[in-house]
Amino acid sequence: MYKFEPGIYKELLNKGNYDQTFSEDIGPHYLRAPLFRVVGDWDPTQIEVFREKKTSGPVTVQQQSINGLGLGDRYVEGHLEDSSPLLGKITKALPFAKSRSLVHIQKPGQMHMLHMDANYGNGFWDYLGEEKNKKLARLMIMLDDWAPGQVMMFGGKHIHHWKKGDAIYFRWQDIPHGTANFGHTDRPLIITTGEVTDKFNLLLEQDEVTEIKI
Amino acid sequence: MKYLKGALDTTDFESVIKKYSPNARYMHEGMTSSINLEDADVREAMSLYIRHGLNPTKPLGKRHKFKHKDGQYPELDLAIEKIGLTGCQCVLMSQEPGMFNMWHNDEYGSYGERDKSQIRRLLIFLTDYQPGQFLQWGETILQDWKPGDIICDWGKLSHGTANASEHTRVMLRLTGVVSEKYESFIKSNIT
Repeated sequence: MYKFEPGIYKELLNKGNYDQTFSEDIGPHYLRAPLFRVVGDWDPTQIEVFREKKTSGPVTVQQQSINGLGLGDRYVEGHLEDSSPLLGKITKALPFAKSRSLVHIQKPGQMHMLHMDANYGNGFWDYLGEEKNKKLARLMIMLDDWAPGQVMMFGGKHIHHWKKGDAIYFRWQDIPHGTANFGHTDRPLIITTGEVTDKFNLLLEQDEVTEIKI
Repeated sequence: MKYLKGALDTTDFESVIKKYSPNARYMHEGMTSSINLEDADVREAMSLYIRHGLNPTKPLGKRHKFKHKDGQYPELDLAIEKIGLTGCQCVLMSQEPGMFNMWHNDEYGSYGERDKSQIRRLLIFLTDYQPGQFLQWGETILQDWKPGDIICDWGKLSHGTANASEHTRVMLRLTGVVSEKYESFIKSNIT
């Protein structure tokens, strides 16, 4: 039967340190869902991307181009600055020294194929040098409660039933991930990459889910 | 929804898949030749797509309908007989990478005008689970299935699927009228 396996996916998978077992039991080094929760009274129905921008490069295109799919079939994407202003309050509260955020609204019928991320912000973080792998972390801030038909996968672990404000931490450099929305409602999130702080590391060390109020 | 682990694990599904591949066609449920709006499944599929601004010509996956003992898939004859549904509608269906089936309830419209309380539906997995193949039935996300595993009897439970993996997922869907033989098959295989 048909099998689509872009060479770049395998190459990146082998470059990372994930054991490729795709076991449901994935260690906290790779995934914390959630790591913490942002608590606020934002209205998910008011979230919009005013100016769409595709930030992904050829590596992503290659992994998403299958059966007629393209980058636009993943989600509506835009920079934080080109999205609803209320979201700025959320990113300011995140435990990062410096950060870069994108807004992804995955509409019903959109999916992001299982893939590996290759980049670190298209040069944005190059000033950190070789150590950027250790100095950066990535979070997905879920902007609405989970709804049926919305699924995310990290390694072999399905993530669903999240709550509004959940901050999902994952090692994007190491674990394959993909998402789909075959439900009936939009799935908005902020994806933020940032320079870790002591506060961030403290959150990683603790088991309980801290609430960050905005 | 019931899950029957390894209920048909001796069937030669690889041979079935080889025969299915050249017969498989992209199609909407019930839309083999025209858009039949008398069919509740067709109306539901169309309205779901349009309601969400999606293209209704985008396929859910490929299909091949056949009849029990019509000679096309003899490997499946024994399995279908063992399951024991009467008036069995048989559809081999695949979900290729990038395809999805929106969250919905089954109306069993493609099965025709019958007493719906007597209709049962099963899905038999023909291929191994692959990461990125999403199946949600009610609150449950399914994974780690093997060829020969079965899900069945979900009635009006909402469900949906998507394939964000690199592998095609193939299943056999059977729809028919409940019988004593069927009830006994389920009872003896439920885990």
